[in-house]
Formats: sequence, C-alpha cells, structure tokens
Amino acid sequence: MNVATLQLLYTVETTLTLSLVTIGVYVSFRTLRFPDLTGEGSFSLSAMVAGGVLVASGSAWAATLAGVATGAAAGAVTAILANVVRLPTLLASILTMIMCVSLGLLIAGQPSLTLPDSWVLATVLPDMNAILATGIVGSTLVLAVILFGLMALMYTGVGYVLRARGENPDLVNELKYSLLAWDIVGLALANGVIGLAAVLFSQRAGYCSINMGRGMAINALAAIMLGETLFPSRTLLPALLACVAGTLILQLVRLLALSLGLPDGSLDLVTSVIVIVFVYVAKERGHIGQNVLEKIRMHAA
Amino acid sequence: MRKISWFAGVAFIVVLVGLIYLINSRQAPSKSEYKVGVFQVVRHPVLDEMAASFQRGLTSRYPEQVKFDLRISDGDAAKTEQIAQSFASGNFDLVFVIGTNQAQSLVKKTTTVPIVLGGATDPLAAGLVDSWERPGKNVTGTSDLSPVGAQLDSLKEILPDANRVGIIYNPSEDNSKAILAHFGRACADKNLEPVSVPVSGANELRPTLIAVVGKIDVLYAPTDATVQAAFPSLIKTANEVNLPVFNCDEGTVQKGAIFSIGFNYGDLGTTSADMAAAILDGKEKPSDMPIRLVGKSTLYFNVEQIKRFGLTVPERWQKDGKGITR
Repeated sequence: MNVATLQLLYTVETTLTLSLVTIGVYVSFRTLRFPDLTGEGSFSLSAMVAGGVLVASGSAWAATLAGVATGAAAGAVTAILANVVRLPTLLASILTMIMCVSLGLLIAGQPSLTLPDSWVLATVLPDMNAILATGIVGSTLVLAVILFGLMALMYTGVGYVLRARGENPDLVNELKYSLLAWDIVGLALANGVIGLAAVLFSQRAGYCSINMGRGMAINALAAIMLGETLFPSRTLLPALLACVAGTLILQLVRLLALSLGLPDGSLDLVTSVIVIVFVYVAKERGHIGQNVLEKIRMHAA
Repeated sequence: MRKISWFAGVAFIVVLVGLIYLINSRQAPSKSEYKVGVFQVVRHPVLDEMAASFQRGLTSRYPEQVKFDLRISDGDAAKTEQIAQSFASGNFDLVFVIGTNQAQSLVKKTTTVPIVLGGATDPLAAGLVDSWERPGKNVTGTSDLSPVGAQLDSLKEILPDANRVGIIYNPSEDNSKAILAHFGRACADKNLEPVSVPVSGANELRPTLIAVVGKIDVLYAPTDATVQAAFPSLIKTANEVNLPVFNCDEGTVQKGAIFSIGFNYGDLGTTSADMAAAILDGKEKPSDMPIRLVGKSTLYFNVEQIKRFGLTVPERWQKDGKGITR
C-alpha cells in the first residue's frame, strides 16, 4: 500500500475515535448549552481508570465499562458543582477537570501506565487479521452505535427534556423538572461518551497517561465549530455528522502539515493557517466553485 | 433562509486528500539514502542536545546519505498518535525516539521499523523491551538511569551528617517515578532517609521548598523535566532558605548545585547513534542489542556554593572531580 493511502487510513481510524469526544462535547455545549470543559480531565481520568482495570483484571470489557462509568461520574460531579454549589458552569467544569488529574494520579499511583495487548475492538472482531482493519471497522461500528443511540434517545421523553434544558431552562423549571437531575443525566451522557473515546484511544495507543486529555476538549470544540461552519445543518443527525467531518478535517490538516516536512514547531501554526485560508476561501469564494458545478450540471441535463 | 450546502466542506476534504497524495508522491525516497525519523516528546535544551548529537553521529558516518525528519509531539496525545502513525507508514529506515509514551505509541504501530530509544529511564517497566540484555523486539537504545548510588556516596563525603534527603519531582512525569524507586532503594542501602517532595509545576517550586524547610537536610534534583527546566529558580529559593541542593546532570552545577554527577546527554545521543549505525549497516538486530547505559559520568562541584554553606571540598573530589567557580 502506498504511503499516502496508509496515512489516510490511519487518520480515518483516529478520526473515528476522536469524533466521540467531539460528539460528547457537542452534547454538553450545544444540546444542553452547558459550557463544559470536564472532558479535558475526564478523558485522562477515564483512560487511567480503564488502564488500571485492564492491567489488574486483563479484561478489556471490564476496562471499557470502568472508563465509561468514570467519565459519566466526572460529568455528574460537574453538574452537582454547578447546581448545588452554584458555581458558574465553566468554573465547575474546570474544577472537575483539575480534580480528575489529581484523582488519576492517586488512583493509578503513577503518571502513565503501559497497557497489555488487549483491545476491546479486537475482542468484538476477532477474525480480522490486520490491526488497521480492526481499528477502522470497529471504530465505525462504535461510532454508528453511539450516533444511533443518541438519535434514538433525543426523540424520547428524556431527549426532549435534555433539549429543552438547552433551549429554555425556565420552561424545564416551570414544568417541575429538576435542573440538577437533568444536568447530571446530560453531562454524564456527554462525558460517558468521552470516557469511551478515552478507552478506545488509549488501548490503541498502548499506554494511558495523566496528560492524555490535554487539549482534547478544546480541539473537539474547534471541530464542532469547523463542522458547523462548513457543514451547516438544521437537524440533529446532520449536525452530529458535521462533528465527525469537523474532526476529520482537523486531522487531515494536521497530516498535511506533517507531510509538508516543515521545520518542527511550526506544526500548530501551519495547521491553523491552513484552516483559516480554506474556510475563508470556502465561505467567501465558494460560490465560484458552486457556479462551475451548476454549469456542469446544466450541461449534463 | 440561506440555502444550506455542504459543498464547501466536501470540497475542503477532497482538496486536503488530493494535496496529501500529491505531496507524498513527490517525495519518492532515493534508494541510496537512509531516512531516519527523530521523535521527540517536547523541546527541552537537554533533549535537543541529545537529538542533535544523535544526528551529528549519523551524519558523520554517512555524509549526505542520511535524511532526518524531526517531529515533536509537545506531549499532546493526539499529536503523538498521528506522528507515530506517520513514522510507522512513511518508509523510515529507523526512528530515534526520545520519550516513553512516544515509544509506546510507535511500538504499537510497527513491528518492523527499528526503534532506537534515546535516554529512556526504564524501558523494561514501560513494556518496550523484554529485558535489558535482550530486548527481543524491534526496540533497543540507551537509558539515562541516573547513577543514584554514586550521587549519594558523594553526598556522604561532603555532608556526612545529612540524614534526611529530599527528592523533588513532578509526580505526573514517568521518568521521575522510576528514579524515585531507585532513589528509595539506594537511600535504604546507605542508611539515609528519603523524603519525597512532589511539585505539580514550576510555579509550585517556591511554596513547596518553603514548606519543607526544617524537614530535610539536603535536596536532590533528579532527571525531572519540570525541576530541571526551573532549576535556576529552584536554587534561588534554596539559597534563601539555606538548603544545599545536589543534582544529576553535567551542566547545572554552574547554576548553583553544590555538586552534580550525571551523564552528558550529548554522549547518550552519540551512543544511540552508534547503535543506530550498527542497525542501518545490517550488522546487528535491535532484538539482540542490550540497552546501553552511558558508563562515563563526571563529578562536578561548585566551589562557591560549597563555601557558602560552610563546607569543605573533600580531598577525593580535588583529584577526581572538576571544580567550578562561577
């Protein structure tokens, strides 16, 4: 396989996993409208707890459950801090985030753990002989299940209250729904998904570290907004798919910047510049391309 | 309402993929040269020196035949994954890795590309090798495990009455965890009492030092990136509270440690380059090459700091060590 194809496949695999973080952050920021940076810490903590369980028990499934539960618990803590202690939401989430880092160190007793060769996706798809194939197929399945589950949930009573929490919290209050309870449900859901991403990511990477979540929620936010800019959507499913597309674009841009072989240290700068230039061209000059497309279509017709 | 279109986004993705193919097709590697990756965890003067002397070592052996690709992950997990992927898939002849997590990530992506570690403190505990003598996989390299025993011996020479030895480190750093265990054992051997002094970041150094005054007799600064990066400010506070500090590397004694024994990280880079050359020449396989420690370590002592604490330079030091006056 040629280098570019292989690199693209790797990038797709990472994107599928990191999309889960983007979707988790989307649920808190957009659905609940709760500015939540818990993910930076819950990602690390989930990875550490899942890693600890994996090392101790050898069961990738137990580790996955532990990771998801840890993320959900972190989300619940943020909701409690915001509603019971009445901290500003962002502060509540930042406090949870730094507590997560401390807890991760205390629980694991060390800053990073080496994970045994045990991968939850490989237990689901035991017959695949290529690691990359397992990663891509497995992550696609996980992402599909999460997307389907979220869609299903959002059209149930639970989903309606969660969405109302974001759209009109006063209404939720007047209808005698507890904001605390629903924030707990929403943030536990969001951070549970982030915890799942952390488990998959760390098992694939072969280690977990207390710094693993650094930048994850911020990058997810960037992916959400990039997705919203380039893939405007009015309904939920396209909006969630736009999250995936936004994550993909950020990863592809990073890969492009890497392949350019520029001096080290310029990677982040180049990544940002590429995004800025492309979004400008797409938004401001996009009609040129679209007009060409229209003409081709008219000719064809 | 404005027409909703995904044209721009889709076009963006298509252009990106096209560019990635275009760039990769233009970089067809020529057969006669070696493509060597350098994967470094963060920018840090000591690590930079190791990477640079590794590159010098290989360049002097294969003039104009070796092409380096230096990539730094800034400790960011997503970036680490992506860089590891690009090294695993980019037809590299060898990758020199500085950083434990970086090596762990790369090992998961390739079992064929030879990996040479630069100054990994404990590659066995990190699961990178099967044993120090016979790594068993595609990984070998050098370790920067500090000569803690020699450091404590010298401490007893200059401060025979010191008993409680503090070790200052950042608990979120892997290497420090390994050093801490070695330090604890070495202290037990030499009847010293180890006292751990954790700091979570450079800003915590000053309050932490002030809080341990009276609880320790002397402070040890191990190979911890947080501590070493903030060493000058560590010494400033230590001098204020009259706490002697000894260190683990070559350069810092000028900055005010009473003495320091350690490797030159440049030597680690050079040794790693020797190992890499043996692999590139096809003479040896990583799986059979023992992890190397750099044997040569030098004692440096700071005459002024020693005077400042009212101590005298032991006789042996005059002979074996190198005295530095600022």
